[in-house]
Amino acid sequence: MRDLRTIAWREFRETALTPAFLISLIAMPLVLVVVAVLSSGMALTHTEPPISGTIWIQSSDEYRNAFAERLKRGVDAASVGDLPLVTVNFEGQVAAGARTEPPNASNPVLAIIPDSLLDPEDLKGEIVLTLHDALGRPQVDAIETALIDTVVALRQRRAEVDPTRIDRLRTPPTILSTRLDDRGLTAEDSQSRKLRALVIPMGLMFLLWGASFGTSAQLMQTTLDEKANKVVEVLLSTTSPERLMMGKILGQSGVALTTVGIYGALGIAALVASENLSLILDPQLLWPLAWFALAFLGAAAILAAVGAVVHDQREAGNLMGPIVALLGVPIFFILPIAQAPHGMPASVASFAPVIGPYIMAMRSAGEIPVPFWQLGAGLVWHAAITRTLLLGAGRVFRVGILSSGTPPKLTTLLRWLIRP
Amino acid sequence: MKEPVVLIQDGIKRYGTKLALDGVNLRLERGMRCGLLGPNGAGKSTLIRTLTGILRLDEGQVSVLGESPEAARRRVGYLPEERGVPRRAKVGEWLAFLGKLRGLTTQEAQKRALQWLEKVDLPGVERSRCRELSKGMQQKVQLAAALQHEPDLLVLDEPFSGLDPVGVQILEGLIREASNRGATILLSTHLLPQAEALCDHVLLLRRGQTLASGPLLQVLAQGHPKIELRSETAPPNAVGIGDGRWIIEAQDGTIDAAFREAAQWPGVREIRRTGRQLRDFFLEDADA
Repeated sequence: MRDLRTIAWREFRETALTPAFLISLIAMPLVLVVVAVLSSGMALTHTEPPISGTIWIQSSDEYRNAFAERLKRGVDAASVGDLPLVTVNFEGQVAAGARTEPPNASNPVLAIIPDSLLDPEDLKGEIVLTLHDALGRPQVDAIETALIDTVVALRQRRAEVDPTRIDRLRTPPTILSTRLDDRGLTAEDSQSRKLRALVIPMGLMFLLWGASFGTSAQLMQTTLDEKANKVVEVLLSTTSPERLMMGKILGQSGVALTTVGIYGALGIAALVASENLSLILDPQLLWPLAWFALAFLGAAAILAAVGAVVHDQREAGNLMGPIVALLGVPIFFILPIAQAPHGMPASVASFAPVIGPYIMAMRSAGEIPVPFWQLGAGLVWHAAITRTLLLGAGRVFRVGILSSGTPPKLTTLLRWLIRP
Repeated sequence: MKEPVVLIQDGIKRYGTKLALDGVNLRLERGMRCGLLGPNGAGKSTLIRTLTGILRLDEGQVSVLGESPEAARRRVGYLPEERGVPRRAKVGEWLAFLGKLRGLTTQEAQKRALQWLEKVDLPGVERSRCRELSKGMQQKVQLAAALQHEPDLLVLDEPFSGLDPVGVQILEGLIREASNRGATILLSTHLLPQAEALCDHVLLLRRGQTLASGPLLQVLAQGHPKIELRSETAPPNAVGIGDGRWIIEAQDGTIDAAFREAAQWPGVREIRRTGRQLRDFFLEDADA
């Protein structure tokens, strides 16, 4: 055991206790926070330039006057992405009549509103709008909103109904839902339920996938470095190839756990700050850790074997293509699983070798518990697969780490697997 | 009979269809210094990797210090031919790491690392990164790594390559010192004079087979006595070895007559009797 511990500690120290790792670990969330702060600051101070020039309206005087009134209040532009609504002001004038010339900077808007569109009994026709290209998207959006608002307001006035009453009647009700378990104990409101059902599983999935894949790739790199530097023969004279590989995997698992721990702590801090900590006070959320262990060990075994059989970065890159494609599959399952965590695709994918533990991790973190039989059978199945992967990787590692020349063909790898 | 430190019996190792070791036998006892010799592809590195537990024999028996090579790893010091140091690692940490893998405690490994850096004439480099050292200095670090746990069996694969004359002198001193404290040395080298000077036993391999094995003097005595002379023209039965030098091989009983006959050859400027040398095995093999 002592050699495993010594190798694992060296692997951990050489990877995790380096300025590069610590900087990247801290830099990533720091960049995210800075971007979030900057973008929210930009949103708060964001102003759209006012629309100036003459807006030509070909319609009734009633509509034109109502439209001018509407413009005075300023119009919210709703189409500026995730930023808060921006109010667009008008510094121009509204003129009546048709224009045959195309819009220009001084006369940027020409709108034709047929009277039939304002008739509450008719509602036929459409607004024909011609705009100058210099107007930005928020300005266009604001003009469209003001034109539509005015049409709707005039229809209501002509139909002699109270617009504020109608708005009130159209206000959607809020849902205060209560979910109870078999013992009638659990209750969650709809907002937190959504967070629990979607955001936490997706966040966990990304975190676990990123940590396991990232550190496994690191494991491949250190193995390749030791082989290329001719260090490996010295190491193999002190311990067996299998123990060397396991020591390295254990060391990198420490790196992965450190990554998960730091990002997890940041996530918990965010939940505490938003008073949502109760969302993760759920014993069910311990399951993803078990799946994470299996997922990491599987990926690490594969990439350690890759590091052992290749001789340089180019060869590693060639082999990494299909492996990245395989390990990337869980990412495509995120949305389907979020929508139907216990549907047939999710259940079947949960038992797929290598990627299954990632799927299980996400499902286990969801709102509704995974059926117990699936958890039990999945654990046994994936533990067996992981063990097989580790044994196979150990056999490939044993021969591959001392190999030279061209990388082995698939048939050679199979021979190593069958007869080490 | 003493307990053997190294015992290989009918060792066979194949790489696919290629036979790397073909029925090799070797027995080394405590304190022996054995030279492992042979041309490229003779199977030297395979034999060494077998003894250090890196490779396993396909057939035959091998034991090191009375155990399997894997079990004896901590009592073996190994300097591989294809050796390297991790570029980013600090010298002291690398040595301490290997010391711990060889069974030393953390404190002892750190202490030994410093001691051995002094011994190989690299004091004060423990905090340097390996990439900051010259090739020769890296060689010395590797030598310290092989010796620092004071192994009972020291396996050195081409240890002199890359060393300057001072380094060679240090290494020869360390080999003798290890041997004096009772360690068994297995030394693979292409430098035959060094092998003849340092070793008391030899194992000569050719294409995986044993060409000769045993005490150095006994192996050298296996051949016929020879006469080496300098002359402008070739005497009868002489083989040229370059630079106007010739070798005449004689049967044991006829050496005196052959010597007298050669000495009378016109133009002889220098003549002496000589025994078999290790290089003769290689030359004979090349002739064959």
